[in-house]
Amino acid sequence: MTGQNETILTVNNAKMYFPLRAGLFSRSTEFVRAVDDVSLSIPAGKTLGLVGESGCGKTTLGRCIVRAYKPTGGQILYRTGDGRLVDLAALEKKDLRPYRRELRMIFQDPYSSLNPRMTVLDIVGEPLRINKIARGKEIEQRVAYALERVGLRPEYMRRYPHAFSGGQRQRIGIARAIVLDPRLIVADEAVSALDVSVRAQILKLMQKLQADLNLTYLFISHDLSVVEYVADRVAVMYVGKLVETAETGELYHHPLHPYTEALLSAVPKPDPLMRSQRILLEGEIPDPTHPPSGCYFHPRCRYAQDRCRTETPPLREVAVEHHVACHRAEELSLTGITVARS
Amino acid sequence: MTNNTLLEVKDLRVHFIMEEGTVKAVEGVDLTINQSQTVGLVGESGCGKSVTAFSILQIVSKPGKIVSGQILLHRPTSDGRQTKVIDIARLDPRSREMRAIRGGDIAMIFQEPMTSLSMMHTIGAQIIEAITLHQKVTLKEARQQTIAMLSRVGIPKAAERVDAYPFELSGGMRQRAMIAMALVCHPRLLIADEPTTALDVTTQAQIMELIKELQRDMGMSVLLITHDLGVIAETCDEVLVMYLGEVVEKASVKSLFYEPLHPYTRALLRSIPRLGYGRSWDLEPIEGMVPDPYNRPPGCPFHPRCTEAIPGECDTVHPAMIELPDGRSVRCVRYTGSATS
Repeated sequence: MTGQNETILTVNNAKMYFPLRAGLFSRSTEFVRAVDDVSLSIPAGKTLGLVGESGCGKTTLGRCIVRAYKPTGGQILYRTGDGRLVDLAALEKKDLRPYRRELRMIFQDPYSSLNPRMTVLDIVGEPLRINKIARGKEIEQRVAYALERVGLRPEYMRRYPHAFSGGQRQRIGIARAIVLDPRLIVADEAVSALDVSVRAQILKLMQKLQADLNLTYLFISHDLSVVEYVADRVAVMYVGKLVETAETGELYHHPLHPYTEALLSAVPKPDPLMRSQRILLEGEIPDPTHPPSGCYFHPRCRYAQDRCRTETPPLREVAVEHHVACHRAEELSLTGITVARS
Repeated sequence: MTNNTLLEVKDLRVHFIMEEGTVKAVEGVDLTINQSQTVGLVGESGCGKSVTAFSILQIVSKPGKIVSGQILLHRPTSDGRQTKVIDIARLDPRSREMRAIRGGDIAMIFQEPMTSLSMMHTIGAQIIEAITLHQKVTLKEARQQTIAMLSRVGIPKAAERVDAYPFELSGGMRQRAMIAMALVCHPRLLIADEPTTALDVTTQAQIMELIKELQRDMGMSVLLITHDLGVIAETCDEVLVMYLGEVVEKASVKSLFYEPLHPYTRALLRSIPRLGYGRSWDLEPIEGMVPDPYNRPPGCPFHPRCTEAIPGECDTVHPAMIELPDGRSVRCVRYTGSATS
């Protein structure tokens, strides 16, 4: 068993560059820097929220961690159940097998992530078969157990995905992830495609599973209200780099990066008396092939100064456990979410 | 009825008649939109909010059919002193009159800009076509109007971008091009069907501000369809909550968020996380799921998921819409005693 506050995953300077090729035989000279020098860590049994706009590299980072991609550089240190540290980034495909059971992924779209020609039994049982963990009747028993855990009736295991609603399909996706008794789950926009009433059910389910099975989550989402609800810590990503990480309440109430401030102010709040003066970010996310000079956020930043245009700010600890990549973090006083107490 | 009414939908029913049975997508919807007003239509997938919007433009896809009800468009006469009332529900979808309404009086924008943009033509060509369909102008004038509108919606270098194809633009820019096409003929009503659902929060904020700004400048009304209660709270004056083809509650935006009446509205508001509260705001999911549209539950359609359902009543009696003294309405037997007489 892992101890309470032990770190289960440490990512050191991870890089994932995708080459851009012009023609069939041409050497690639340009790279899309989808993940560029990212470091983070997650304590066992906790949830790290990873937020950012589309194209910021958050999904790529998630895929590097479960080793769907082999990172171009950096370390992904995973602490196994018996306390060893393994650098997943350095392992070859065949050596990854034992760890694939322990690091699982849940996807966004419950419609396209389940094979329509397979029954629920086949879908949820497939990881057991592939990893040669169970056979025959035992597969059925374990699938039935996993389905019960996610709130589905085991009698339905011979049905096909089309017979289920969006929320039920997402439960099937979760059952497939937990059937191997994983330790870390990367949930990539796991509730984004669901209706609000069902979304709350799935969030509750994920919290319950975390408590029951001592799971660790990397929760990737563009929805800041959902992330605030599930995450213990939050990391904000912008054009392949982390710009801020902090404990959730601290980040939402006292953001230190102008990008975090703008993101928080843009979230529509379900309260007609809080029709806020939003900070409207001009322009769009830069192309990660040709990121701007200096701080990548400077062209859209309303606090940018000359230094921001030339010097790239490192991610540094400004307050306790609060890291930010901004030259002006100490002097700016930014606005977080304020809550009207009634 | 006040004379600044723009559109009135009365007891609209839209059914999809299929082999497996009839889906009553819209089942008796009443809706009024006044001039310069923003009305929100909120509900989960399958509640009929989009079909209601499509009916207003007569673009419900087959086998869907408006089976009964009225859609009354109040259009000022050319001298502006009187209004003429047109029942859209009775017009042929392919008639000249209907085509004049679409894009002329009422325009629509969608979640996915490529629903209304063609990828085979430049955005300029498509917007110019929209102008020449509704106005008697030369091509040169139409092109100038197009460039002006594109820069109005915040597309930089509009004079160059006018000749761009949709695939050459980013998602946010495409959304803006679609809005430009919808607004170029100065419609009196803009129907926005999940206009920002596919966008990032920062782009979403830009687009919503843009719609508000254009609304102020042009004095148009907006019918905003969304499942996002945050977007509703930030933009709407009036809100209608739909469930399984019916309006279950109608209220001003403040009453709806501060004093929701229908158990479904209250449950919806309890099931969304509140920014700034974190886990101290406990989520209460709505149990079960939206029923299969082929098998509508008897009585109140929400009763199987309702925590306040009264056995013997809610599962048998279909509740009528109850008008309350403060101008709100709610479809729930619990409020029978408080109706205006």
